[in-house]
Amino acid sequence: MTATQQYAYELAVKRVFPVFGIELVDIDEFSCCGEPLRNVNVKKWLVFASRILAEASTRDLDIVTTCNGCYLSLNEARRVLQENSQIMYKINQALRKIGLELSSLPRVKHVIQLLYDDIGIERIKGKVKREIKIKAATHYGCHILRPREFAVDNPYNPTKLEELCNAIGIKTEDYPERLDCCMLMLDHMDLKKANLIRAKKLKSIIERKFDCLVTVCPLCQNEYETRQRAIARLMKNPKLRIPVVYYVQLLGIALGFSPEDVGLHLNTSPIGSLLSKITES
Amino acid sequence: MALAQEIIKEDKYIAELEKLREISLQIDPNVCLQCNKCVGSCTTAQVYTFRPARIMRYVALGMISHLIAGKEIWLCVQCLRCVDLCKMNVKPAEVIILLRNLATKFHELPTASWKRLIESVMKIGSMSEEVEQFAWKKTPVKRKDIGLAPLKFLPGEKLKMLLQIGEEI
Repeated sequence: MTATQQYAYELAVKRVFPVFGIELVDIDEFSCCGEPLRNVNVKKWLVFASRILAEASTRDLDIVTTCNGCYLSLNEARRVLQENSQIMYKINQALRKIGLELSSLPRVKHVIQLLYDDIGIERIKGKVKREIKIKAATHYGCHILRPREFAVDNPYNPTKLEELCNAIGIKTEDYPERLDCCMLMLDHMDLKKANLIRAKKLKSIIERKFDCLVTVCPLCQNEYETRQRAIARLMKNPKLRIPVVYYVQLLGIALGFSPEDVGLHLNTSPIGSLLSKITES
Repeated sequence: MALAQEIIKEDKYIAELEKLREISLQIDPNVCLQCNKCVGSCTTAQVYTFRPARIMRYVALGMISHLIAGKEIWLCVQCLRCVDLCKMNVKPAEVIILLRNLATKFHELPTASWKRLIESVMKIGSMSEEVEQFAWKKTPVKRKDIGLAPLKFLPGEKLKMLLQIGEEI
């Protein structure tokens, strides 16, 4: 998803992490983590996810996912392989046919874990060149909070994203729809009903006068960006203009990169109002 | 006679579901207490008469055929709130995933949108081809325009082998 559609996220991630001494390596033969296939065939999903784990394992790398869906999918596959040695054996036998092997299971981390747990708030604060003086609504998405064994933070009251925002000068505030789902999967069944739930969140963001919505998942980001026109029609509010940005993009700007460097010009939501606020501060 | 046929039909589905449970350990709809916490927390229930607990009851009773023939199981958005709240560790969202697996085996996918998504992953190994991104009020952008390396998709042969392996395990 990040690689085929959401170029802004990829640009921002590739700019930001080297600043903290983290080297990112692309896996050559790109494929989906398998999550969509889980709905139709769990075995095919497991093979897809295991291949990605094996590609990292043979190169002796750990995995960082930019997407909540991939984070859950790969971690879930890890769990199945860890708990069931018979399946692990079968998968390994099968992977050998395409020249791969799962000798060890690589760790799978989400961007937010890398930023908060590994780099840490203090180191981020130390590198900030420009504080971003805006008030932002945060959006976690589901799969980094649930199920509990893979949660990156407390699933009921997560604070890591808020703390990361505060570290670069962004004000945050709780709002009732903070932990809501982005409803991506309902899009395939009934787009209008899905938009109804998204509309509730966007309405809340307008009422509380947030400057933008900050996300950490390309699927959520895409939903709130590309569906905004349809939601505006649904809410009968043609002036609905909420900038939706990735946290890593804002972090990049705080670290001194230009908006173009972190791909802000590629966001499909109307970010004009946000840009002027950032450049003013 | 009709009833006996019904039971034989359901037995086939129950056996299939058991096989799938090998991949997803730890789930057991039979222990559901019908506390309905999953219903209270359900995202889909905000806009539909959708009850995870009811689906779990049907599965426990072995009444699967109507579930996998209908659209209800496809309404779940997999937000996993039910999985987190369930005191009996039933994992309703995961049971629903397995029901979807059964549904695709015996029926068609519910909508054109689902078909497109799954076909894409099966064919090119990704949710979509590399697309031009239409930036806000600007001209479309390709990866090479912004200095990103070209994508190397998984070669078709390897992809076919992967999917084949998926059938075998």
